Amino acid sequence: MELQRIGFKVICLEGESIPLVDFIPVFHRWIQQRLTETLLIDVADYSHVNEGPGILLAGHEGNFAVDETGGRRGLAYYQKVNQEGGISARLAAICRSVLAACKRLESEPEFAGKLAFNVRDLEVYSNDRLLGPNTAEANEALEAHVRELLARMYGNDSSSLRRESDTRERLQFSIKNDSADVDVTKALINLAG
Amino acid sequence: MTTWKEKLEGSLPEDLAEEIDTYETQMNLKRQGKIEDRIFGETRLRRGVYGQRYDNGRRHDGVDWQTLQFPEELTKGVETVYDAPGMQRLKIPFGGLSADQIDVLADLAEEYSDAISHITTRQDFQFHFVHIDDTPSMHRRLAACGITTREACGNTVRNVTACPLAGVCRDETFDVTPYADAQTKFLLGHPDAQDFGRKFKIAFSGCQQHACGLTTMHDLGFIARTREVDGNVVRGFETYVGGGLGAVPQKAKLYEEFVPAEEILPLAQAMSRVFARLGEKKNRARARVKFLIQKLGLDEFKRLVQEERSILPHDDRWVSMVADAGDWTETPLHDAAALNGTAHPEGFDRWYETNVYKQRQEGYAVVTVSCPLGDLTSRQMRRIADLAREYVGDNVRTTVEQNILFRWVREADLVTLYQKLVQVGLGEASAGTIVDVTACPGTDTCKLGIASSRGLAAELREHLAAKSHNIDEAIQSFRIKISGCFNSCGQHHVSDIGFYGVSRKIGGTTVPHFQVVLGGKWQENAGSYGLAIGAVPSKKIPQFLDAITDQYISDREKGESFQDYIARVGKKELKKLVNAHSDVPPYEEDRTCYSDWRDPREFTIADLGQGECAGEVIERIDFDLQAAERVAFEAQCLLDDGDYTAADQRAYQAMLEAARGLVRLQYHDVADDAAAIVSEFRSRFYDTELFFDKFAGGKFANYLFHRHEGDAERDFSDEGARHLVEESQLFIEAAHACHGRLLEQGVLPQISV
Ligand code: SF4
Repeated sequence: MELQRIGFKVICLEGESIPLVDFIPVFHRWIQQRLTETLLIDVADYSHVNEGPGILLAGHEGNFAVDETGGRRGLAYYQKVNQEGGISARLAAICRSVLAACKRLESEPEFAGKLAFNVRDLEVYSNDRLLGPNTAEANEALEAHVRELLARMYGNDSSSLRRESDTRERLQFSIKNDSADVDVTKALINLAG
Repeated sequence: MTTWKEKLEGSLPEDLAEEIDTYETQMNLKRQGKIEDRIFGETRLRRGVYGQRYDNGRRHDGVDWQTLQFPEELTKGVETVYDAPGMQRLKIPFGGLSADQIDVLADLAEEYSDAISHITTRQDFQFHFVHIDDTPSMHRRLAACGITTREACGNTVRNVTACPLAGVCRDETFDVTPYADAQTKFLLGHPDAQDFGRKFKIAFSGCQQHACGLTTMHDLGFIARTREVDGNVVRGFETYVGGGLGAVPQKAKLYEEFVPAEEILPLAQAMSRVFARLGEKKNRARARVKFLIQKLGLDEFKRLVQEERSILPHDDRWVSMVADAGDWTETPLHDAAALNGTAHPEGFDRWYETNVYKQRQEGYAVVTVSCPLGDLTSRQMRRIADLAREYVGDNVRTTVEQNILFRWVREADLVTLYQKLVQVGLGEASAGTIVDVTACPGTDTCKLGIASSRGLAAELREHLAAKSHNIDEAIQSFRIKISGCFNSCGQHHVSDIGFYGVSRKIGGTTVPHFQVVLGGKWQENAGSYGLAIGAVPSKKIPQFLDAITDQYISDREKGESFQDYIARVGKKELKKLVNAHSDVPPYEEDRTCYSDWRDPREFTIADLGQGECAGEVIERIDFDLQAAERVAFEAQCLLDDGDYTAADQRAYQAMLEAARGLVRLQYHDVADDAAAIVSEFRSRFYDTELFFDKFAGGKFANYLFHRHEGDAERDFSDEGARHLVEESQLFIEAAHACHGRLLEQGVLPQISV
């Protein structure tokens, strides 16, 4: 599969009530201290729109966002430039990027004890209607790779994947895995291994 | 890998497809270092591809400067890093959109931007954080649904705006939509509108008294009028010229009380020619048409335009493009039906008051969808497209107040439409009220922004929305407009209360402020501009806003408008109120005022970049020679692909392009025809030896002549084509050299027409 622009979103377990604008100074600090492997450029405030990208941390390789699309707050990361490697490697790399950012955000002093991400509740999407359209064919192709990644990350095969039914929306899977015994740190270790 | 170009093959209008291919070739040439930054910069601006803050690769993070380490060193304009994210603006003439187009915008925002479609103060859309390499695909997907980005930025005719209520308004003289549409199509890419020193803005209004068209703040403004001639009602326009906001706001002057409808296109064309020929080109700050009128005087400007009009080569489109305008209508999706006895859900009555306008057509209404700061998510956009399909069809428009209008909603559908808008967070009852603050992008993305206009706007919206139920009626419909700097993109001059970003040094540290502009008039097509009173620290603006509105509510005389109140009280008194809010505590005690709204970085204006609002002033000849190079490059590619017939023809075309560019230096209206170009080139540049090289004489010109003369009996061959491609490159070099010599000698000839 040629798909490059992949996005992941990890849903919040706790932290829904933190005002969105509270994420702004934290993201600015990430830029100041160059805290991610990717090039970070600026912060954009979309807290005034309903169920939108919330607070965006724009970068060169991809954007992060405390995203509320679909009415669920989570940390999203989507790739904007092409990556090396096959589709499985690309999926894993993007997943690691978002998990690493979740871990960092959870540990920020402003959010201590107030913010947690549920790594067993995820969304993954194709942000490219040409190479990964929301069709049965592309769904099948992507699902196989996503399942492979989830098995590695969760240590089991019992993830449920629900595909976005509105074909005008992006090809997207909402993923649940209630039986996995993982948190953000463990998921990162599993993916590294 | 499949591309959008392949996927959309055959579904784009041919001319648009070719334009986009051309643009993509120019990008390739840029990558190969074959186009200068300043020319490529203006080239992309003319495709709506604009720079964005920090695209020079440097950003102040509040503590120190950071170099943004983009992977490549390539640039896409002067001091503009190729890989840095930028803005893409689209052209939406008179704000008219179809449901299918809205769906496409939603997709593009997600895939190339940040899932936000932003409505501008000129009824356009723009996307931020876009990589330039994605722009050709974006352009193709837009073209496939009938949207162009051509001339959305740069020194061009910008989006033609018009009253969003045109055609359904209760007070209009007639529907100006088809005229705005004709003006757009006529001037788009028009050869006479390519050589400006600055942008040129046009607006249409259906009446004098309302604000919708804002004609007085435009370079060229048309207000609908009718006249009786021989017992027949004839359509025309009261026409204004030379208006503009910016740092030096100027109200447009009356040009003519009545310009017949079939004269508006040639008038705009003649004016474009005069502006292109005589407008300032070096000093951008004085290059708008208002300065030319100031310099020449209105009468002389008029005389020149009329003279130009009288010698314009005839164009059938002047009349044909507006001939059927009187028959132009929109088709409502449903039959009219009055608002019946359906129970009103909570919030509906207030929303009805602010966001619903009864059309002149009985049983129909216009619904304004309030879009906070002009931003819509892709999911909201798709929902808007769905609702359009369900209730109004393609009768959707944007407004300069950054909202969306559904026109032709049958009144009986208002309740359900409201409920569905509420479900997607778009049911806010704020249209045309003090809560509906508008703002330009400011420091969020604009390279010229001084203070955070959007940050302040978001803050004021929240501040006012929290007390919206208790806002005194006297200030309910106030307009608040905010610009990030004096360039006025937020249109602060024509609001009741306007702000524009400035900075002040306090104890050696820079503090973000907003200059307060009071009493501008939104009505009467932006009837008058406000009074600048003084600067207030950014963080103190909400308190200042409360103070000035409270003072007006308590001190105004019976029935006194805010504009009259400001005029009566006067600048001196108002200044006291500004002063009462201008205190900034020392940095060591309280740092609140030393950063801007929604941006915790310690404030600095060192981030300011070089603006691209006006683009570089590039002479027409530069574009023509660059076009010739592009065609020669295409010829080379065709040769590499083994298509020597096409390569030969493109090489010939490249020489013609270069020759035409030179001819145009003297003879603007040379026909787009090989025989005419060669003949004019021969008499003006060969016979006069202007084209002659010191050593090679007329040798390079002969490449063109030989190819042209042997055209009919040409026997295409691989070798012949290879030869010609090389010759075309030498010819273009010679054309550059010829232009350079003319410039050095200061003998650029006078244009004859
Ligand atoms: S007013 Fe200034 S800050 Fe705002 S968009 Fe225009 S140039 Fe940029």
